[in-house]
Amino acid sequence: MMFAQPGILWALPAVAVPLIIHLLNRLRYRPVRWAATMFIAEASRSFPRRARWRHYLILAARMLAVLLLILAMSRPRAGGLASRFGASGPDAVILLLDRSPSMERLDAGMESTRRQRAMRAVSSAARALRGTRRFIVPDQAGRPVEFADISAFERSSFAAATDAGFNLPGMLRWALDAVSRERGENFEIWIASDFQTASWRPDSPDWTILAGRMAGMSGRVRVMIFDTGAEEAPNSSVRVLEAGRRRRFDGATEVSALLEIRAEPTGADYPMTMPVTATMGGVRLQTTFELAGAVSRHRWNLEAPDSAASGWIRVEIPPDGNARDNVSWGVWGPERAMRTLVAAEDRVFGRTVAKAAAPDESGRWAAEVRDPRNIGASDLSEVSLVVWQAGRPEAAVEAALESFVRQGGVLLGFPPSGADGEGPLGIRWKQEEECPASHPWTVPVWEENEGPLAKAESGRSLPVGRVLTRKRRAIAAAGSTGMRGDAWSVFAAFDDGQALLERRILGAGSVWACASLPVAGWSDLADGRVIVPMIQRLARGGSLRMSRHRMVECGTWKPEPGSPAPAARDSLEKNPDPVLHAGVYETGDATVAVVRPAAEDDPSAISAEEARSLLGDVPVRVARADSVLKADSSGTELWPMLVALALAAMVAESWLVNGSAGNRLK
Amino acid sequence: MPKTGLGEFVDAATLARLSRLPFLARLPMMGSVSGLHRSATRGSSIEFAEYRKYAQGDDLRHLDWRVFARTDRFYMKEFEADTNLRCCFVLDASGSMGFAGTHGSRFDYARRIVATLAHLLALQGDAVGMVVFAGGIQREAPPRDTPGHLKAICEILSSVSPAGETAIVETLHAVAEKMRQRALVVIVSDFLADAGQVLDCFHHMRFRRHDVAVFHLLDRDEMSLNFDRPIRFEDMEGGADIVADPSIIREAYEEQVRHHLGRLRDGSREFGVDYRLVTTDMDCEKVLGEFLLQRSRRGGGARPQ
Repeated sequence: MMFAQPGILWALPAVAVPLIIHLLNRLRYRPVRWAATMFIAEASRSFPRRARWRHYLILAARMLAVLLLILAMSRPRAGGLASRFGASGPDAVILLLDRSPSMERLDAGMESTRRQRAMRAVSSAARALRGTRRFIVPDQAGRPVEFADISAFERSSFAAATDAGFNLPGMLRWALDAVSRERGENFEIWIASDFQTASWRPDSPDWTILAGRMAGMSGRVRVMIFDTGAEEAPNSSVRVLEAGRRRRFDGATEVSALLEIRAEPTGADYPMTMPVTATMGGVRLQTTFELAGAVSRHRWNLEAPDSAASGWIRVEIPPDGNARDNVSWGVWGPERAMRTLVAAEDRVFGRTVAKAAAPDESGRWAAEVRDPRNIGASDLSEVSLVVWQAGRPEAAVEAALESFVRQGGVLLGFPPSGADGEGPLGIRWKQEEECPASHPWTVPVWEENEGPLAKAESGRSLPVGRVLTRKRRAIAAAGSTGMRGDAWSVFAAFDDGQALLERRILGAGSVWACASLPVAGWSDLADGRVIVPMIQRLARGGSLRMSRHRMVECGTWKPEPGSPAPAARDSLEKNPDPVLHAGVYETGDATVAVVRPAAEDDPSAISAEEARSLLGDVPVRVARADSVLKADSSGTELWPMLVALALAAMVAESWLVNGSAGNRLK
Repeated sequence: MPKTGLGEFVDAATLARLSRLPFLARLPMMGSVSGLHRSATRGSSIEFAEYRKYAQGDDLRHLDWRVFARTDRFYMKEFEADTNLRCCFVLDASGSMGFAGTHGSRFDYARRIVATLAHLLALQGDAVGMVVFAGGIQREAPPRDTPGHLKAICEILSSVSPAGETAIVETLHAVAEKMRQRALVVIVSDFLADAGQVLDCFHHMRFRRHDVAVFHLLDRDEMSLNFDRPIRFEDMEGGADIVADPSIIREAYEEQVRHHLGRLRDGSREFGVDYRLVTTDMDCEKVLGEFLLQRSRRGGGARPQ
């Protein structure tokens, strides 16, 4: 039952007023000289029990009338959300609200964004719950934050828009960890999202593990999905893929920016034109691109405003259905070489990886193979990527490796030859195993949206599915999970569910663990179409720590501990947070362009049925946010019935009081 | 209209209107002089009563010669006797008679009834007496038909006031015994006593061949408890106070009153008592007029005028 005026319920103690008046009246008797006291005495001794009951009924009727009138004034509604959500509230609700840029889209005919509608639907549903006083959401560091009142959450920054992506599998892993830690019998996980593929990541190998975990908790966990999707209004987006400064043939200096524009025509078909504005060094420049299709890339060469070796540019398109994806930023600065240090017990392995890390002699890529026993802290200062195929190093070396990773470096571990399976920085492998005869393991699912196995810029997938593995050491360090922080995430998994590649974020860098070796007899990873982009992408990620000017996806960068607090140079927010909001930030001598994740511009979405299937056997309900809001406002008004009942109670009271009038002596 | 001496309780105009109606006894009376009422003995009036066989020594003037001629037997003609009556008013002056509701005091109403009827009887030449009681007989005036006797009754009515407990049962039994000859006994009381014992008194009086007329005086306010909050009922006859919530006991109270009145009414009918329930909101003249009219219609002990 929902109340339109719940404040009036504070008057409920007034129900006791008739009782109080009755008790006061009993105390305030008045004297009367009476002749026929013999009848009084006899009546007091012998009046029937039903008379006493009638008196109690009169009192009850008066109290009931007051109660019903108060309830009527609070205007309760039934049959709306109360019947859908209010039957029995869970002990706690874990709320996963999609705040990614796609949720800021204004759908056709709507006056509020998807996120705002989702939040209203969640609030309405939460208020319809009976007995639920805990709403748990994750903070930026993956710690649970609890709200006793959904309206407090609604007003908090946890419900505001961000430019970070929404990694639902990661969020669900966090939620299941929270359920495991929490006491209580019943939990509901509420997912408020628009089913965007970039958020749900249906190809993520995490889903296999998540479905299994949720099946094990099916008695305690239910899932509620608030679908915010609606008829989409035309929307366009722009993104700066890269920006750089170069010298023209005539000696002048120009800034070259590669833009990706996604456009949905508003009536006319392609080709269509798109005006684009750039702001650079305080100067605004405008041009128009002709778009041949839904997604097109354009290189825009602009005259450099000054001679500085570094700088940033803001690019924007006219306002449309989503204000969040109409702006993008790019930065540039001096290029740095990307060095890979390979510490390998196996010399063949070392050569293979080194070749993948530095395939040519251009000087942009460099690789060095070293004996793991001879690695020192000073060797890591100029390194982007450390590939470690050996046992656990000595404490000093391990501390140096940890420092290297925490500062932004990347470490990729491969199975060592040692029986204990210990590797650096907490990586552990199980015992070596071989595939069943003539049935090598395959890799059916891997993360294609981000990471070293993501699709190429052209949109083509890496041939990871063709990799056959005959020998492996399963990764045993994936025990701790979470969204960010000390979390292991699966990026590729074998067909039997074991992980091939996992990642753990550590400080500003990351630690990766691979279950097989790119050498003959182990796997086909040595195929250049997989190992080369994989190693080079990891090396590029590690080199960012040395580049003072870089572009990072929102949510993946946070300032080094001890470094100056980032100062926002440009953003859509008044008080931008570099972890949550896109823009240009400066910290020390570094300039960082925080941009929304590329996948957020892709409007493709999965269906509700696909979403259900991803969640396995756990009970799932899907409710459209608009229908929830409609149900909230369309519940049956109960006040007329309550007023009628109050009148009936008053009539009954009157009848009980005067019912014996006909029997009185005239 | 001459000064009656009862002017304090009787309105002269009312008395003039009521005096047109005879106040008749319903039963034969044993008077000392001739009057309006039928006597219990045979007399010399013109009203034939019955035949009886001749007995030696009978007055031959009353021998019916026509019957002797037809039957060859001697029969004596007997005629009704007309006599006056002795009336005794029994007035309750206990504390409960002092109850005064919205229509005035019950005791004042009772005094008006007694004074009016006493005057009417005196006008008819009947002997009028009075007994005033509360815890016992307080004042007493034996029935007399002397002209100054009304004044004595007036003085008694003026001097008494309601107070104390009631001893109606003992008083009525005493009056029944005290009146040696047949008499008209008019009782004016609220009868707030055990109905069974009161009816025993009526029975006793009827056994003594008294004609009993009862004015049961109640106040309309007493018949229902029209109070909306708890009341401490102070007993007017000195009994213990009772605290009660009228809304709870109202129905039982009214049932008690109905039962009490029913018993007195039915018992009076059973014993031939002229019972009349009077509430103080009724017009006293109208009540007395109906009383007199009904008694004359019943044609009890008097010859039509």
